[in-house]
Amino acid sequence: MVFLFGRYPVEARSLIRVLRRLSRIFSSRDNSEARSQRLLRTWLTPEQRAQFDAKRYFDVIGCDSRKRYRIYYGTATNVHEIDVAGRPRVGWCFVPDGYLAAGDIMLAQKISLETNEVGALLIANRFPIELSRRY
Amino acid sequence: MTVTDSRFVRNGQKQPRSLGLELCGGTSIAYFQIHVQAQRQESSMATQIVMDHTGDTRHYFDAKDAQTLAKAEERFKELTRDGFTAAVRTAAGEVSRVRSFDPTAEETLFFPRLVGG
Repeated sequence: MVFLFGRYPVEARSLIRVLRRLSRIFSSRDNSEARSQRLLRTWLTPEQRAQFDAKRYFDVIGCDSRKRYRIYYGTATNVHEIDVAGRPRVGWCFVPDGYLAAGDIMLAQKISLETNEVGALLIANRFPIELSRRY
Repeated sequence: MTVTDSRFVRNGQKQPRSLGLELCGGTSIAYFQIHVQAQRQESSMATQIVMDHTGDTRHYFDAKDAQTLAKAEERFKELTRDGFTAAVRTAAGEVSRVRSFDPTAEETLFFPRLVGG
């Protein structure tokens, strides 16, 4: 480096700084989590998107039972069935197979509940909800 | 976003109708020109989006081109055979599952089979 940039040390350091900042910008904008969140946001309805932006979760209506489910930001145990009073009844855990980022998992959960609720719940594991955690 | 060109611009001269990132002050401004036009070209084509560990992989194809259309149909069949679910959405944001290849769909999303967590 000294040999290469010896004649122009200031410009070289400036260039290195620029490249480092660029690397940081592009890696943070294009990692799997950022990509999955962008994809999720484009597939949410305007109401779901607004809810997700404000609260980090969004509600979906099951296509078969018309029940309400709340999908929280996360990769597991993040789907809660909500009763008419807005209180959680039970949790459902189901995820797409393989290693996926949170946004992708949430999008797969949303589509499954909105298009094949019974099929998704047949695969899912039920779990009790600890009220103190999120409510 | 697709970065198709980059250049250094001195004294803040920027190209119109482009998005830029100013990275340092003074006379040297590193300016990355992002071609919105290239993105528009991509978006005019149909897209198959496959969720994977990188976030997603996108396959663009021209529905008017028989060769790329056949390739897209083959990809659809292969993914659904492997257990992927295919879904499309309307402009209003409603989603629906598709079980056969739709050459008119602008965007088809594929996600892996569900498992209990």
